[in-house]
Amino acid sequence: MNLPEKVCLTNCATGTTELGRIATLTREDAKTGIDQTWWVDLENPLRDPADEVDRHWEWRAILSRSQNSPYFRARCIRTNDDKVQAAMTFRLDAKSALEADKHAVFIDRLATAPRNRDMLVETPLFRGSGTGLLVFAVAQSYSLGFGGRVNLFPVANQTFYEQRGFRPTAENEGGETLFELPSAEAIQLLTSKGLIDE
Amino acid sequence: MSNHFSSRDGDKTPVTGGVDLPARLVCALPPDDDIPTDDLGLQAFMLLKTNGDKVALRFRQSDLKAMDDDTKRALISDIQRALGIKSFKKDVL
Repeated sequence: MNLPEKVCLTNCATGTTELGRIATLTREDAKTGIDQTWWVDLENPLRDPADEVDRHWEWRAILSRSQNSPYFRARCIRTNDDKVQAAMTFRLDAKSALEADKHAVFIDRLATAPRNRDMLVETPLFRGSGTGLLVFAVAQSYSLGFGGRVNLFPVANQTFYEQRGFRPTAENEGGETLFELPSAEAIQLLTSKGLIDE
Repeated sequence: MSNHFSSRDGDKTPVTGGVDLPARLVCALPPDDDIPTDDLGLQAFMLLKTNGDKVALRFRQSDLKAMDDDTKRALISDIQRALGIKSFKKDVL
C-alpha cells in the first residue's frame, strides 16, 4: 500500500473524529493557507503570538528556497473546510547521525496551526495533525528502506521527542542538538499505529 | 502518554526545526536534472539509488519518467518486497 493519505483528527470541542487529508504543500498553499491565515484568526490568545518560535516563519519563502532540490518535500494536513491544520517540510537525502552508512528522513520544519495549540488559545480546534505529520515522516522513511529513521532539531522541545523514542546525537548546529528516532523505535511506532505487523 | 484528553488539550506536537541540516549529514545523491519530481517516481528512484547494494536492476532514469503511475507502484512494490519492507496495512494514521 502507498503512504498514508489521511489522518484521524479529534475535534477538541466535540470530541468527534474528522479525517484530515495529507496533501502536498505548494507555495500557493503556503501563502494563502498559512502565511495569510494562521496568525490572523486567533481569538483572545492566551499569550503573545509574537513569542511563538515560528511566528516569523514565512512558509512560502521557505518553499521557494527549496524548490530546486529534488529531495526536499512539503506536506500539510487539510480538513474538510480546506484549511491547513499543520505543515511540514522534510528532506529525503539525510544521513543517520546514529548509525554509519544509514539513511534518514530529516524533518526541516514542523508546525501545527496556532489555532490548534492549547498553550496559545483557550479552545483549540483540532488535535492530531502534528503527530500525524510526524508519523507520516517515519512512514516515508520506512517505505524508502531507511528503517523509519527520522532526525530533527527539537528546538527546546527535547522532552517531547525523548518521550517518543528520539535520542540526542553528537551532531550540533547553531547551538542545537540533532535528535534521531532509531529504526527499532520507528518500527515500534509504526506497529503501534497499526501501519505494519510486528 | 495518557489518552484522556479534555477540550483544552490541543495538538501536543511542538513547533520543530528551522535549523538547517548540516552539510556533513547530506547524502551524496545525484544532483542531475534527470531525477523524477513526482512522488512515485522519486520513491522508486530513491529505493534504487539508496539500496544499490541490495537490489540490482538494469535501469535508466529516463525509464521512470516514461512509466505510468500503476507501473511505478508495481516497481516500488517489487523493490520493497525484495528489501523486506512491509506494505502498509492502511492509509489512515
